[in-house]
Amino acid sequence: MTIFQVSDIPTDIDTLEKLVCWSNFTLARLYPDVNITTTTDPSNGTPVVERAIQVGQFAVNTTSTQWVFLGRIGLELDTAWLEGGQPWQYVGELGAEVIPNNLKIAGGGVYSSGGAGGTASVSGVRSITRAFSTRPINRGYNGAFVLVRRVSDNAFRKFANNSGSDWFAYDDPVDGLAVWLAGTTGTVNIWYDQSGRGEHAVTVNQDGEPEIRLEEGMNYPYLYFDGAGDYFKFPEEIQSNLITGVVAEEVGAEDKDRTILGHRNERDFRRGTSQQWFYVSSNNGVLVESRFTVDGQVVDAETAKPGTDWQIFTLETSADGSINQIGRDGSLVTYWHGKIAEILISRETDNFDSSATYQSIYDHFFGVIPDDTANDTTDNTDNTNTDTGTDTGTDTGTDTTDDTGTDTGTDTGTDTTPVTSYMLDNAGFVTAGFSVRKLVANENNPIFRIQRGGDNLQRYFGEIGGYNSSYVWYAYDDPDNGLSAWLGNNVGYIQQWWHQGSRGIATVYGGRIVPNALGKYPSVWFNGQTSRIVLSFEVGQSAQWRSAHLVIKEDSTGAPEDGEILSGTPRGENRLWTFEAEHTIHLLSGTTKIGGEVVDLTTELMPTTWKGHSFSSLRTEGCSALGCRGTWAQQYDSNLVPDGVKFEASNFWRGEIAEIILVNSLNVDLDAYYASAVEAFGLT
Amino acid sequence: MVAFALENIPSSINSIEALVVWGQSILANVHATSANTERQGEPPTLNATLAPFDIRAADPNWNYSVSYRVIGRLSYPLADDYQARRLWEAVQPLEPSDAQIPPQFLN
Repeated sequence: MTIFQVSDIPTDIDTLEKLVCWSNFTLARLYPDVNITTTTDPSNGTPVVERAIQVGQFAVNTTSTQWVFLGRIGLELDTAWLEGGQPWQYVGELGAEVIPNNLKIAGGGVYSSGGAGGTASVSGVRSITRAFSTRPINRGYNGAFVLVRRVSDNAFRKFANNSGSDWFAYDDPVDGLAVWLAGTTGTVNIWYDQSGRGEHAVTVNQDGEPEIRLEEGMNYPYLYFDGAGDYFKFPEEIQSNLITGVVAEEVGAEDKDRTILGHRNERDFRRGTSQQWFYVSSNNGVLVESRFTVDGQVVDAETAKPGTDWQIFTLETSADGSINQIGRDGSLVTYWHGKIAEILISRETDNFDSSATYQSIYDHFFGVIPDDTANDTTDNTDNTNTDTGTDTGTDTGTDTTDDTGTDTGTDTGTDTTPVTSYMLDNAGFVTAGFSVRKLVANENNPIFRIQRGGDNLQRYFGEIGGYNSSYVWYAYDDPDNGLSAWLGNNVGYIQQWWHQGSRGIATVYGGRIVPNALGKYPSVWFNGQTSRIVLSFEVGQSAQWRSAHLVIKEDSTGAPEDGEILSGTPRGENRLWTFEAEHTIHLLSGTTKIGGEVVDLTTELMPTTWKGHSFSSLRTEGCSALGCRGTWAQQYDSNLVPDGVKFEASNFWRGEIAEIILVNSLNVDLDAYYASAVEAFGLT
Repeated sequence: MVAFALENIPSSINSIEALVVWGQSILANVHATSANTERQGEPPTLNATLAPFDIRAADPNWNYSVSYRVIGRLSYPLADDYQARRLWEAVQPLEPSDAQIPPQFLN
């Protein structure tokens, strides 16, 4: 039985459609290989077995190209249901797996991959230290968000998004914030800590209380600091290397340094000189390495300035800072002058996803529409994925002086070995482009989503670290956050492999990541039993190709004799890409090159060392799976349940894959391809 | 669309398996005729189905191995930007948008 608590359900699920989709998704994630008999073959009585739970997103209805979520449920039912009960009261179990934390989080999660935000309590997440906000950010927290003083009569009242035992909802028609203040001024006496630690921020006197205000277009109120004495103190000073905030500076407040989070010494998160954003210094005044984002984009913390429009910032540093107050720097005695809606303070950045945090704030909560045009040099007035800050865009893949992860936008093309032969850029119609290396210069996506064995945490990786509005990913060889550093001795299970060519994301079943298999590049290891990639871009659609380009290595021991690398819907013998008996390649083909040399298909053994392979076919081939023989088949289960689509796999391949590119064209420069593969992977 | 609050979930539901059957039962009940064309030239396919089935081997000696399965299929529209969101967050409501959970599903 897959036990759940009501609090496991992400907070933004507000319709049954979403709830059913989430439940189905969760079961599919937990039980990808559980089968169930759903009918029998009427001709011979043979049970027909299929996956108990299936999910996927598909484009259907060719006239409108509507995307839909398709799912199927097949669960055992106890015969006691015949006594008249409801089916859900008698449904059988699929197993006893535990729901992963990342499936419990709304909106990608405030603390996305770590698992707080929507979970029962953030207290179990080691990185969360303090959480101050006017919005709800922790489902496990049950209390007021602010204690408000009505200045006119010194009356106090607590508020939150919903009413509680001794607090009122902001929008309560009788006792809500605006009704209660009735146009008079309200100030915040206590900003409650939603982290669950009860370390609330308090003011030291009434003059130091920031105002609470409402702004049209925002879902929640904010606090206004007057720049002349408003600030909160913490009961105890705390160490942090990660902060997030939603702030806006007052117009005309740039006359001096103003601190959002402060402390008495210099190792703090203080507003720097020259009106820059945060200046994070060590005790001797040296700027601490940091990664700073504003509105989801990395900016240079030394030069970027706060804005008077709402901005969402995150700051990760390599060294702890000490914090004991909001709105004032203890040593300089400067005060923040402007608005603050949220301050999250954390430590240990492993579980933090700044992009997801930004998305969470942006999409779902405050309703703030930040303008990110200030830092753009190129595009993006609509906050879409392609905003690249001030990067000049000449960084190309195999930098030796790289700008991975902490790119602050100053890379000006000092590459010493720029790769100019990104074959996908000029290769015609690429129908499948999977590689461990970055193939398309202008795409901005991760390459892998990896789940770490042991604790099931997930992280995104790519050749170069980066971010977009949906993901933050790390470079494979990032010394602190890269594959080897993150995995340690754990196995990394590949969940998704991004198709380079803007065609989507392939789900990987059973594949493992092998760090540093090819220098800095990892490889994908297929076990010859279950590992495969299903190209379910659309229902039943395969990738059409005339030429295929692979960098692979078959396992020298234990590889099944008929394992298949590329497979399509069977259309006759010898029409499949297959490595059959004695590992010989069979295909009706035009030209086949392995390692740059033309080989005889009938005698060539499957290489057990890394080689680049290129095949061209006399006819267009279809490929629906990588690493196995795969077939999309229509399934007709009964008259009452409409037909669905099912994927069947067999003939699994065993070995490692670094790259598979399928091109529906013969117009590919194989020499250029080999040159780029040899250069990237160090092939011989 | 069927609006939903956590309080609507019957207290007897303590597993995800039961939860998905409960939710889909309601949707199949409320949106019994909602359908969408999934393949050109074919009739529209129902968007929400769920029903118990008797699964048995066809045996001339009547040695049936009887078991029951609850089988359903869901097909819910997704927002175009579904790839930028968690999948369930991108699920769009079925029409009509003001449907309520029938009372027999609330106990």
